[in-house]
Amino acid sequence: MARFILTRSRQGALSLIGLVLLVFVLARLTGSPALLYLPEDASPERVAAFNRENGFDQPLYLQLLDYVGGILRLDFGDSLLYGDSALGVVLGRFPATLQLAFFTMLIVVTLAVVAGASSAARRGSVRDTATRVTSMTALSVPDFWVALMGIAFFAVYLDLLPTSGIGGWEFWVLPLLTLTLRPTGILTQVVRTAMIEALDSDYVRVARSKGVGPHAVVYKHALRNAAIPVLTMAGILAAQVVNGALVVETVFGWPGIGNLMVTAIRGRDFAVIQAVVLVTGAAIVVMNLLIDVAYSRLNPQIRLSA
Amino acid sequence: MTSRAMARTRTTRRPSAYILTASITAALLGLAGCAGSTAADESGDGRTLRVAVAYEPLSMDLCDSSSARNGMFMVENVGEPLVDLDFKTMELKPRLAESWKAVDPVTWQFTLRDGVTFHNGQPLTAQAVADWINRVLNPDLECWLYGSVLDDNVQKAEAVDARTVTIKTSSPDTILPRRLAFVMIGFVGSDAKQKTQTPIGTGPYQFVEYNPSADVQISRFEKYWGKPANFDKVVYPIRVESSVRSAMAAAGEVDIASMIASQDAKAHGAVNFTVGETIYFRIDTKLPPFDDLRVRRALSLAIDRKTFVQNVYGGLGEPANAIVIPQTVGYPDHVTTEYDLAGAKALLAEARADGVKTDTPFKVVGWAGMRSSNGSEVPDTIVAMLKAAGFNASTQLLENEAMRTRLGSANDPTFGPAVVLNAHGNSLGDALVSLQGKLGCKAPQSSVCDNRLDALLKKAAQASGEERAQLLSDAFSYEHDELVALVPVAYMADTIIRSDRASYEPNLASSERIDLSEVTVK
Repeated sequence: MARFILTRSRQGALSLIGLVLLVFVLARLTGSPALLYLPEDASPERVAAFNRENGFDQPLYLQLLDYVGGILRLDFGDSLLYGDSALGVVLGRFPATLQLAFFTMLIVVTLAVVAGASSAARRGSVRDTATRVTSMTALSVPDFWVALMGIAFFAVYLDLLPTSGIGGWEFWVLPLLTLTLRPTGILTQVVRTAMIEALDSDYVRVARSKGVGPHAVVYKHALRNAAIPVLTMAGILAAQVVNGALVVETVFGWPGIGNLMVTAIRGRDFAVIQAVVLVTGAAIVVMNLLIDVAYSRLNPQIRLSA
Repeated sequence: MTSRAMARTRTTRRPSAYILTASITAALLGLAGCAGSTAADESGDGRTLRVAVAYEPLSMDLCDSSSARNGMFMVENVGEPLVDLDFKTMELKPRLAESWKAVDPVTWQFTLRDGVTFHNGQPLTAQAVADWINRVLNPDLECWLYGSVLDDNVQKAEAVDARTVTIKTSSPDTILPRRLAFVMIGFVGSDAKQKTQTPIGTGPYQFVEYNPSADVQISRFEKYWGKPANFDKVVYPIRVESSVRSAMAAAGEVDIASMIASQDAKAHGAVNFTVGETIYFRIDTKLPPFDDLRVRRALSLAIDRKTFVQNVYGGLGEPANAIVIPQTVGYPDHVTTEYDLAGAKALLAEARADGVKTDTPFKVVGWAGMRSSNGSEVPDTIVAMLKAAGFNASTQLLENEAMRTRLGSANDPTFGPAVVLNAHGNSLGDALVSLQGKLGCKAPQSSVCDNRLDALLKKAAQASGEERAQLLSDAFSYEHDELVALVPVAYMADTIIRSDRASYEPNLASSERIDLSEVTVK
């Protein structure tokens, strides 16, 4: 296991290096940020001075060498927009996104497992049809629409919740509602399909013939064996949320890294864009590693090898 | 699965996993508690005002206060200028300076008000003002004020005595006091060489905190020299979506929601107002077919400005005759932009008969982020009008940086002939900067370099009063009749939404700044 983790970490580090290089080059292909930080009538001399000051006049490979040298010293450069260390800015925003992602996934997994499993257990029933239709609707609705309709209905019309911002529990309801809808729809469908397959398998028939109750058959035997595809999909969905819920954070003024990423891209804040990608990339690598480890815990037949 | 494995799945319990999950949940709930502590405070006590803004600030430094992104909280509230500009009369009034005069053609002298202190308790002295202006003029600091309001014609500021400061220019600048109405005076502390995160001004409100992507907060400065601030605290929530700002006003979460898009312009409490910005387009005058004056005249005649305002802005805004608003010094009263489709077609036919390729395809370039643009609606409407006159036009929509590059490369054959749409705001209230910036020989955006126009502008720069206004007006007439490099389309409108308890009358500048002394709450 230790060897597996070590190898996967090494592979993860390699992917991160590739990712950072790619983002470094792609961001710079969009041009110099000088024009966004100087007034419209700024002279060409001032634009040149800005580029010189920030190193944007150097050839790409020299800028890259400088950046890589910085990373080795754990210096990710300074944010043009916030005048602070880029990594500091990103890490300052990460907890807000992580909290949102954690509660989103908690709700998504709970709802999807309960709805998907009970739907599979009573195939063809009214409950099954209702779950299928509801989950299909949930996964088809665009999140910006849900966000704006949620604000219009719950905050403006009913006056029950705040429109946006951060604060007590009431500020969490609309962002969580918006964020959970689509992943819940997707995961419910995956759980249902995986459960149907598991419930049709021999070991479930054996368990039933041995007199195990229907509840125990569904939740103890079948669910555990249906968990692998569910875990895989949950991992992908979680990665999307950790990546920063761009739309939700922007609409609700949630100061997470999704919001930061949008601001940084609009402001050509290269150092912050790179730091966001690196931090979220690292989080996804770690999460994938945890999921791989979880596979072997869920099904001991899966042997982890480097 | 083997029966052994099955047995394991049935019986295995992993208490450690539960403990781990519980610890993570507890930790995250703890973090959530921390996030809760930075909650926006409750309004409704009458002493806290909340104003929803559309932009993340450019920086917290008062030397960037002329950027529209910073103006809302900085201008007149945290920072104050030496000289105030009244946006109703466009006249200058004393603020931090009690009086000012030109001591020679290249030197202006300002006498400061007594008894003014910065938010850090330091007195406002001539030396402090000179230090601040010299800091703004430092090109390494990349201040927004330097380039948008002050330029390299301003040499330096010097303290003559405790209350007198002089500002020297390399050539006469008769509107320097007007420019200084946009320079908020800040305190130069240890951050002389870099931008500060904590602005210190002399205004009625002092900076409290900036929570990136969340809000900016300011509070009453108790030792303010003038009329005390109306509110204990003012919070500016940052929400980039117009519909969310509008919803915040509807739900009573804010007292003022700024920069509301036209689809919400009829909401309860909405007030529409004309802003000091003009939509216009620039023509590549040196590239065929636009190198023929008749073709350029036809472009202008083909624009039905009334229909444009009706269709694109839902009737808000007004057709424009010049790229500056009528309140501006030098506005040409006698110039009118007409809509004459038959005339446009006739001019094109005449040019075509002389061998001009009037069917050359060209782009109408628009900016995706232009305020109230609703995507490509602005360039699409212009394209439709040009096509009706017989032009072979199509829309090209660019984002910020590409648009700025495009604006700075007039007559560049690699982009082909084009009509580039832009919005121009002249808050100074004097047309010289507009004419120089858009038509001057050295201006990066200019598509012309005309000796007669340049001579008029040089003369106007040295003149003042009626003479200056006349020279600038002549320059506009000449451009309209003989050059046709810029085609004004419409004065833009903006909307704010006020809550039922708030009262505020927007003015020309309210898209970029709201002077809190003009806001009252029931």
